[in-house]
This record gives sequence, structure tokens and C-alpha cells, in this order.
Amino acid sequence: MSVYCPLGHLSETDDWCDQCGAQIMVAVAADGGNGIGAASPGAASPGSGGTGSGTGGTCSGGIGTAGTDGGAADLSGAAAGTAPMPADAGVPLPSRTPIGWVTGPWALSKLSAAGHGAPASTPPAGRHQAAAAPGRQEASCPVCQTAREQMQRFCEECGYDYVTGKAPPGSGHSRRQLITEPTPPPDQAVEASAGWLVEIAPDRTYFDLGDDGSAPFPTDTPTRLIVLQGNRTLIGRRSRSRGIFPQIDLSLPPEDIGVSRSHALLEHPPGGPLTVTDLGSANGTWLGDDLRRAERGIAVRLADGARLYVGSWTRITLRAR
Amino acid sequence: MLVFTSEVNQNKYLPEGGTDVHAVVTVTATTAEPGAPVPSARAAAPTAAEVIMIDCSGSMGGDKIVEARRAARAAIDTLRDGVLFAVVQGEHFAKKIFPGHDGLAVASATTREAAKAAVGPMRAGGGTAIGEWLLLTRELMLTRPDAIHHAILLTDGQNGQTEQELDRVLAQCEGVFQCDCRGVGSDWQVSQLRRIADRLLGGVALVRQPKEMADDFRAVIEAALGRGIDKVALRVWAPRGADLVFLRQVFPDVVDLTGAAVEAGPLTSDFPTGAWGQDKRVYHLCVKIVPGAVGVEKLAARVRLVVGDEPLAEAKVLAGWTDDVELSTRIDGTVAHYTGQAELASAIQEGLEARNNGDGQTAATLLGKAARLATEARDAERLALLERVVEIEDPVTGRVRLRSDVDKLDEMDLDARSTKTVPAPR
Repeated sequence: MSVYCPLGHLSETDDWCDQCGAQIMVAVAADGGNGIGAASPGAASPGSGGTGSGTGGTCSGGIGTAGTDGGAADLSGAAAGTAPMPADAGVPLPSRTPIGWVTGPWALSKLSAAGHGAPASTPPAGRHQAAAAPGRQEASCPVCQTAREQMQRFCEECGYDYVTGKAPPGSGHSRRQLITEPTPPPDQAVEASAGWLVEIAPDRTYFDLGDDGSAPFPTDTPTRLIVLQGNRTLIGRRSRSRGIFPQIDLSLPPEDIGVSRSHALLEHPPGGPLTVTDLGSANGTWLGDDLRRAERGIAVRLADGARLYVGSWTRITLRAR
Repeated sequence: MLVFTSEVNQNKYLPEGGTDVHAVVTVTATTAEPGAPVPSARAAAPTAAEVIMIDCSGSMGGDKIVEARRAARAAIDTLRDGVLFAVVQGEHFAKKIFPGHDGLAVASATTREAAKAAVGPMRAGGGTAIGEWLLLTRELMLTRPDAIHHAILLTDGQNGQTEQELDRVLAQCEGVFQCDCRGVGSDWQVSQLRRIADRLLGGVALVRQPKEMADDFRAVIEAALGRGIDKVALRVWAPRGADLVFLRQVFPDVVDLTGAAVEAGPLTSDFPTGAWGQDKRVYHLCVKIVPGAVGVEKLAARVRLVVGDEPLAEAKVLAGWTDDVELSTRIDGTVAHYTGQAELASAIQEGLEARNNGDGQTAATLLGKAARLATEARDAERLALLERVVEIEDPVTGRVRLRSDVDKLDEMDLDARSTKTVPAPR
């Protein structure tokens, strides 16, 4: 019997998820009842401000910056076997710590205070309920018509969630806008920071904007944290043959093949400002959530909380320590 | 009927950001208590097939061929009624000397006598092409695909074929039959026979005296015939994003299985372990996984012993992240023991190689390390073997002096037995 793990993977084993290894404390039958409803990780994203880390149907918790509450809501909804109910309609959240994924060291409140103040655009509750019930039985995706694989929860092609009936972000008229929370202007930049911390995570919204089907969006990827050391940090993909060994190596699994070997350079002299320079990357270095392309060879100053987007899905957030 | 049990030894705690999970999985197969429910799929014990390969190259002349004939006869006597068998005479080509007809003979009082008579006229002469012998054995085994296949190979010399030729043959034979290798005299190469035995899931040993051959053959064949379940594999699952750094058998001997992986699913690999009798085998695995936050616990690997898709035993390897340094720095005693045993095996092999290359310094360092590890494991037998090649001045720090007058057989014995391990103390 297949069950769902706390991260929303369909697992054949009911003790530990056979996809990500997370412990399954409450077995949610994949084929039983409406119990899962909308209180599943994909839909429950009350805390997911910012650019879409909680939006895509695929395993939002795994991305790391948000969705903590969502995971807990999933368990409570499932355990109680309730009818479909959107998480934002007042499902009591248990105090139990969600398990099995990685979040950054910051509390959620601090995250939103750090510059993504805009609340998640919560879809109307009615849509959830209407779509939830018929969703589970479908043999092909109502959004993109791709055949459903082995009763998988999410459409392989577009990420449609069969359980909640939630359309993937960026599909059709329900397309979600990128929440524009621009990088603070350079004059607000932190001049003499004690150091910088880099947070690397896959970003579903960014990925959907440029998705050409050449690479799948990685799920169950924890946020990577790197403390910048020295004066310079290279962003790229390791190449032994070319002798490129970037400190921020995006060839580590899941490899983002959209990143150039030698993609961009962060410069951060102690006490000085932090800048990024695109090194002539094939697919560009994009600044802020409005995705302004950094001009090749020109250093752009970055402030605390600034976000860069590179490759197919990688979001790099810079934080002063 | 065999019943499998498994046990995991590990320290599941990792420091924050830690990725490498080590665990030792012990699988024990014991005969079931009478009256225990018998799984239907394995109710009927399959037939055993045994092929005896005897080196009859020119160098086997004199005592050796006489004892080899005796060993072959002893081996034939060990075959119980109903076992399928054949005897192959190996030179620069391979010749089946028994049975006279196609395929394998069925053991009975009559066929055993006939086979022993056929062994009588075996004479030494010709070259050594082990690959040819293995190929003939493979053909014979394939006539009865339903049986549990085992072969024993006796040789006294080096293979006259190129490495590539032998590799090609081994690739063909892998999975068809298991083969234990025995070297007699001091002209054969331990590493060469070990390569054959490792690929064909068997062991290597030195037969020091030709007259020991018969007893040794009898023991090998008895062990092989005692195996009741064939084509057993270790199926290892690791979560998405994880890498299996290594998987090695660490008891009863060290065999690195990492390269033998056969994909069994997107996150699952199978590692063939051959046939099982009443056995205890221990595996050490290391998985590199995506770290979780402090307080998170994940499954790092699921290890199953399977026949086809039927699980015989299962073990779960966990990983939990903690900021308690005391917990995360603790090293599990069993993991430490088998890590030491694997290091001991390579220290002996590399030490002896350095010694033969005239690099006394490296040899003394490595063999000294071996002496230290053997002392830590309280492995008196190994220390006795080491003592014949080096003078152990201080077993605790591993200070040794190379002996100058070493019996070649002592050195080969040490090498051949380097992969044998002792179980972890309880």
C-alpha cells in the first residue's frame, strides 16, 4: 500500500519514505478517502512569503525556507481524516515539530522581515474544495493533458496536484505574479558587515518562468548555506578538466546544468561592500525578484537580503552576518 | 530451511551538516526450528552442481599431480547422491574427463567410481589457460540452469593468458557459477587467483603441502553443498540525492562490492552475494546523504537480502542530526572493528607488494600497521602469520623489522589470508 510521507512523496514503504527517507509517523493512504484534501503541503502555505518557495505542488517543505506550518497541517488533517479543508481556513496547527526537512537557521518571522514582506497569494478557498474531490481519480492532467503516472500525486509535466486539484503556478490564467520586492538600492547596502552568508535553494517560480523541459525541477533539496570566506567567491560548476573549482559549486546534486562553469564572481573584501559580477555566463545572472539581468563584467553592489537567480532554478540569497 | 536475521550496528548521530553515515549490517542464516512455517517459494531445495577443475600443466609433475588426483578423488567422494558434477582437466585448453557424455553426471555409487577411475590417468603436461577452464565449466553449468552452481579450481602456476582475456571470461562467468580457488606450491600469484575468486564470489587459499589437498577439497565441497539458497542479493536503497560511498563485505572476508552494483530501481542497487548456507556475513556500508537540520531523523539506507524480489531479511540504517558533540563523535565499536579489519587487509597486501618491489621503508610501515591492527583485534593467528615475515618489536605502536630470510610460502600464506577477518568482539 502506498502512503504519503510528510513531504508529500508517494512511498511504497510506510515506516520511512522510500523517496526521501523522512519518517512516516501517520500513514496517509494514497488511495483511501478524501482525508488528504487540501490540507496537504502543496496547498498549505500560510507562511510562505517570498518567491514561491511554497508554491509549486512538488514538495514545498523540501525547499526549505517555508512551508513548515504546511507540513504540520498536513499531518493533522490526515490524522483526523477530515474532509478537504484549506489550511488557511483555520485548521488548528498542532505544536508537534514537523519532521524530515531542512530549514535555514532563521525563524519564519525573521525570514519575512528580511525583505519579503508580501504575503503569499492564497487562492480562494472555494477553488480548493471544488477541485479537491474529483482530482484523485483523474488518469491524465487536466492542465496539460499528460498521462498520469502510476497514480503519482503530482503531474510529471506541469506539477498539477491531483490530490488538491491545485494547478501549478504559472499555468494558464492562474499564473502567479512574481512578488517583486526589489533589492534595496545600493545606498542602503550594509557597508561594514562582519561577513556574508549565502543561502542556495531551488526556486520554483523562477524555474517555471524559464522552463523549457530540459531539466526537471529538483524536489527534496534542502537549502545550502555557505559562509563566504576570503575576498572572492566564484559561483559556477566544478570542472576538473578545466581546473574550475568554484566555492559555490552548483554541480553538486541536484546539479543545475543551466549554470556556466565559471558563472559569476562575488567580491566581498572585509569591511567593504559585496558585489556580484557576471563572468559572461551563457544564461545570465539575474538580480532581484524582478529579474534584472546583470551586465557582463560589471560589478553590481548587493545589499543584505539581495537575491540572485542563476541557471535553471537556483536562487542565491545573500545575508549579512 | 534457512531463516535469516539481520542486525545493524551504527552511531546514527551526525553533527550539524554531517553527511557520511556508516553502518555495519550483520546477516545470519540459521536452520529453522522444526515446525516453523516454511515459505513455499523456497520449500524445495535446488540441486547442486559441482565442477572440479584440476591444473594438469607441465609444472604439476611429480608429487603435485599425484596429490591432485588424490584430492580430486576425495572431492568426488564428498558428492552426495543426486549432485550434478563433472571433472575438468586444465592445460592450455580444457578437457572434460568425466562424464564421457554431454553435460553433467548425476552422483551415485556407480558414477563416483567411474569418475575416480577417469581421474587416474591424468598426467601433467601443457600450459596454463585458466580462462579456457572457466569457459568449459560455464558451458557445463549452463546445461542445468536450475541448480546451485559451484566450482573448485586447483592450480600451481600463473595464468598464461592476458589480463584482458581473463577479464572477458570472468565477465561471462559472473552470475553463472561461484568458484573457490586453491593454489599449490609457490609459483602462482595470489593477486591473480584473488581476482578470479572475488569476481566469482569464492575464496582463495594456499595449499602448503600437496598432501593437504584432499582434506581441503573435501571441506570446500562440503561447504558448497550445504548452501540451500542461490542467487541471493543485497538490495540497498538510499534516499534521493544520496550516494553509496562504499559497500563491502567485512566478514568472513573482506570483499569490496561497491563496483558490483546492479541497478534495481531509481534509488536501489543490487549486489550479488551468491548462494547462502548456514552463514554469517557482515557488511559495512557508507552512505553520503543530504544533511538534515538538528533534531531531524531520516532513513539513510534500507538494506534487504533478497532472492528475486522476495525479501529474506531487512535492516534499516538511520541518520539523525544533533548538536550534542558527545553523541555525534561517538564511534560504534563494531564499525570501528570492521574498519580496522579492512585496513588490515589492505595494509598486508600493499605492504607485501612494497616489500617485493624493494621498498623496505613502506613495507615496514604498512606491515607494522598491520601488526598494530591485528593486536588491537586480538587476532593471534594473524600475528603468528605476520611474525614469520616481520619481526614485531612493538605490537602496540606497530614497530616492526622486515625479516630477510622469509619462506616464500609464508609470505603467500599471509597474502592469501589477508582478507580473512575475525568477528567483532561482543
